[in-house]
Amino acid sequence: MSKLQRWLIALAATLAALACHPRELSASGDEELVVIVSPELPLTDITQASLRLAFRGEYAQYAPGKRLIPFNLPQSTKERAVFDRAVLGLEPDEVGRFWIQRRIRDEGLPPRTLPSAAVSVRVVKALPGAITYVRASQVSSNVRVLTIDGKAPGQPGYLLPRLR
Amino acid sequence: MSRWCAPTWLLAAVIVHAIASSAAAQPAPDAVEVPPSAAETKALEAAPSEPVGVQDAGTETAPAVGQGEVEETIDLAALGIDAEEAVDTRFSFGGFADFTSVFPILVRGAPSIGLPTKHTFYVGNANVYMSKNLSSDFRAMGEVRFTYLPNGAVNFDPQSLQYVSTAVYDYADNSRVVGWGGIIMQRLYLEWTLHRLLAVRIGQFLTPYGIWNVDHGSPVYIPVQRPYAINNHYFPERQTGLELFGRWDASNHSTLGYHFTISNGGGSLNEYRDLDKNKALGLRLYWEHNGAGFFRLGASGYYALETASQPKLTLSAESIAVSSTIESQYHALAFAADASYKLRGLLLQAEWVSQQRKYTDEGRTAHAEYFAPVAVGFSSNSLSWAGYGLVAYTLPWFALTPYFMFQYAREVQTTTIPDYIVHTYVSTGGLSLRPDDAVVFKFEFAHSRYINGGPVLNSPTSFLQLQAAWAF
Repeated sequence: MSKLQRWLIALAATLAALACHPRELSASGDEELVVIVSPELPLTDITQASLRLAFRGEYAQYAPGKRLIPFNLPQSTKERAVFDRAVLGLEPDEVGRFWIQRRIRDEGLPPRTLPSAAVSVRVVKALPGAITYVRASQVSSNVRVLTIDGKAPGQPGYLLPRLR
Repeated sequence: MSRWCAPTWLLAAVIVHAIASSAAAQPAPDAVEVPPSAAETKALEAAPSEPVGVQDAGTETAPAVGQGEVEETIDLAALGIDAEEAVDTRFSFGGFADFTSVFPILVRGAPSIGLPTKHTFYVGNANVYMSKNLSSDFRAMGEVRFTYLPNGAVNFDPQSLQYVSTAVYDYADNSRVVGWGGIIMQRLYLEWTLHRLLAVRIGQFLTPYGIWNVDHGSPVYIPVQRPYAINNHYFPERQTGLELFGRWDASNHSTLGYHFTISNGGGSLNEYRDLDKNKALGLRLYWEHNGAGFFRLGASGYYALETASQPKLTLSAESIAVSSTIESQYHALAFAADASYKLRGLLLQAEWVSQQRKYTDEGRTAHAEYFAPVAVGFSSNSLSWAGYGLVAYTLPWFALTPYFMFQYAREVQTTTIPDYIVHTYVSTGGLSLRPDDAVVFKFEFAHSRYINGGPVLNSPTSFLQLQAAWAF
């Protein structure tokens, strides 16, 4: 076998290996992304506008004088990418620039980022006013899933697309 | 197949696979978000494990799910979260800076007084932000700019044209000669959010008009310098007083907002003294629409009696009387309009800003004339305006953004050349790229020409500029 043939085979094998490389983001399959709050909050539904406000770091309240406290998942997660696109209208490569611009205008800082969905669920349970988003399968006890503009996860017209 | 063949391609495949796996495991950079600290991570690791419990995604009213009722606790303090105070009360510190290289291509005659005629490097902005949420409703914010000015500033008085020197002997360093610089207070205010519809700022704030007066950071605005519509200061860049603002969501896609200001105005001492009895009033209204792209339309207005005066002391045998001598006083009425549309990488943006001046009888004072047949003249009432239009497109590779901007200014020179109207046309083309969210490099060519520019602006100017701007 010539040297050229050996390198062609190596190239083909490499491409095959890359094609078989497990895609981290799609490992969990189709699933709903849901917005959760503490059940202590007098809130079962939230509008898209209020959700956008909260996650743009602006003043969003769930009761008179009571502010929603948003928490993000890490930017490398599929959940974060889907949420930012649906709620803020931002592609992943636009997020950093968006927050720098808002900071220079002094229009607010980004929500705090929690390291995982597991931690996010526990923070929502422990902190009244906290709001975040997780996969439906990660919803735990004592948190409430909100409908968005009256639509529950899975219903036609629900704001957040399914994770694929 | 030879005995070397299989190990070769297998090895290559393994290496490439390992590299790909490693790259995939790297999180995307997040320029502005703060990851949990080591202490926070440790506290999180000590927290109970993830409970079980599955939410039925199709649940209509979405109540709490009762599966796996595990009592869980989490140490919020370890995450830096104050359970008693909803907002993040940590001190926030940041800012932006820029460095520019200017290549003058065509600068002749009088413009060279204030513009570089030789290739020049300079550090332009070095702005530092400090802010803190004091509680859920109150926050404090300050921004200062560090500058080399006034050292090297040009004194344009033809009788004494020279560069300002701040050179002094440094007593702490063996009398080495140093040129001291200055600090410009950009903003300093307390903000009180009463409601989504009403928030109050007291202190010094950037005048809320247009787009690039508030978007004033070089990493944010697209060209190397902001256009005449902003830099001619038809509205004051900043004011000291009170600002009320709020927003109302008309629908999920449509928002209306307002800013109302009352301040000392734009006089020479406006930061801490109003030299007349009239307060300046300003209003901005805007509409935003999030649909097929993001669209914003805004309109602004500002009225003030702008006064410059000097104190006058009258001494007599029995008393001391203090009065003031007005150097200049006029009614300023400014209007502005702005529109921007963003659809994926495309950005279309335009601003128009105008100012009318009407001098009071007392404030239309005589001043020296340098380009007129008389030695002394009086300022005329005037109307000046400027505008620009910009189109830019951001590509996915390093946010590579080609842009083009055209601007026009109709400037009435009201001090040294009464009734002298200069028409300025500037064409700017450039390319910017962002190797990182917080860093932008700009490469730009700008050509200006003037009509009726008189003895000062009597020839076109062209510049090539390279700028690095970064936020931190």
